[in-house]
Amino acid sequence: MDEPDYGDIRLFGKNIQTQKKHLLPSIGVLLDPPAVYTNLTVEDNLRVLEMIRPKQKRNMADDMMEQLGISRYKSKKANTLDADQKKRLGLAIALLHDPEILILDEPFRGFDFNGMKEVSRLLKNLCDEYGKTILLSSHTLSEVENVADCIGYMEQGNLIEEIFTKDKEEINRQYIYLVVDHVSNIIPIIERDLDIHNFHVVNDNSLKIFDLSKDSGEINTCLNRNGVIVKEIYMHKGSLQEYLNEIGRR
Amino acid sequence: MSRLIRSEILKLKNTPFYKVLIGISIILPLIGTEINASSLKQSSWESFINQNLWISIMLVWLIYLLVLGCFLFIREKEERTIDNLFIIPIGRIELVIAKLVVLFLFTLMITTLSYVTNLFYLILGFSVDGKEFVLGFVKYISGGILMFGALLLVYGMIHLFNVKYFGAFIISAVYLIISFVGMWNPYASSLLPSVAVLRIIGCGYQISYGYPFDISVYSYVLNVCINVVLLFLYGYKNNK
Repeated sequence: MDEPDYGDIRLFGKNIQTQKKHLLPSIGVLLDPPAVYTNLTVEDNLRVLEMIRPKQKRNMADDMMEQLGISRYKSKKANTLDADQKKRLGLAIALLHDPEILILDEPFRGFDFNGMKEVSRLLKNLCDEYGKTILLSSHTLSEVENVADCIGYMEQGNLIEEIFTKDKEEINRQYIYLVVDHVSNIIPIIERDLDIHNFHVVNDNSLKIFDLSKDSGEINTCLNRNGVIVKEIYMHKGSLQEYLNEIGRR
Repeated sequence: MSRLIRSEILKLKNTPFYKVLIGISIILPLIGTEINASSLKQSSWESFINQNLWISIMLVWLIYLLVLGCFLFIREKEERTIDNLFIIPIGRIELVIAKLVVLFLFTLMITTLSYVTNLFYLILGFSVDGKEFVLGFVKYISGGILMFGALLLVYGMIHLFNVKYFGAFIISAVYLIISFVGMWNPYASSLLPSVAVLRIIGCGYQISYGYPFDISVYSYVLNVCINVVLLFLYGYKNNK
């Protein structure tokens, strides 16, 4: 809806700024907080939009309410809904016209644990079974990690890193974390004596060893034999949060 | 467009505007009757409804339609539901037209209901034949429609300045104050669109006009034309 400062946005190969009328009907949007008519009931909120869209399938509102579990609140006024219910209504509004692309702003916010799981399942289903493309923004990293095929990490409006499914596997794998005085001293030792070559230097003092053919005890013993004092050594499983924290620190 | 207009009417469900409309329509003739009983003592149906029409236009309808107009235009921005509409996409011009049509329909409703409820007060002893009734109705409807045109200035300013409720309140209050105060100045009364309405429909007694009748008509028409153009220009400019 805003004009870009530079560049253009293309959907299906078309520029959205010049082809809005043709492209916007293919997009469904969830705002945060959801934009609803507070004086209208849940059902009427959906009926208003169902009424306006020229090629809208009728009675989609009933289907949406059923799918999102808000049928029992359909006569409740929107200003009396709690955060979970309002978010479901917002999702129903976004899905009402069966769009090809969904743009969701904080779809998990306002839900309890079970609600988040439900939303994750719905989004994955929309993607896998119905072939919809979903672009979402969220601070709930755990759910994003479960749902997304590609995660973009942004900072101050800039895309810092893109993480794809195959990268997630690497980020989440186990490793041995090692803290010593000088990492440069131990690299020749672990390569020569332990035949470990798959590692990552975190900083001057710490190292991640991804090759788990040797356990932490063996590594510790080897380094001690070579006069290295090991300050910390433990097994750890990586996480997306940790990875993004590291990116933030860089 | 008809779908858009129907949706605008649905958006007013559960708001107090319908109840207030009915309430005003019943109360206005009551006020008129009270004034008649205590002071003005109109002797015919025509003068009775003229008196009520004066009160309706300058006091009640003006305020009601200003409040309704502000609500219709500003609520969508405040609740951000306007983003849902633009995503459909609905053009800004179409949206403005739909909202103006709803305002116009409410103008017709309030004028019709206000006129019909005048009949309850036939207990005052007026007699009215069919022709008088129809002429009176035409006068009420004309007054309402002309007043709707006079209020386009306020709706236009709300759009142009992209104000929220408080800003709209200020604009409306200034408009009302200028109308009420200007009414008692013979030159301002000839030019102000809301006061010109009273003159055009022949209901402007106790108001003196410093300019000829034509000037009031031109002033009113110019006001409406400028504001229609401004509303469309705003919509066109932002209709990307």
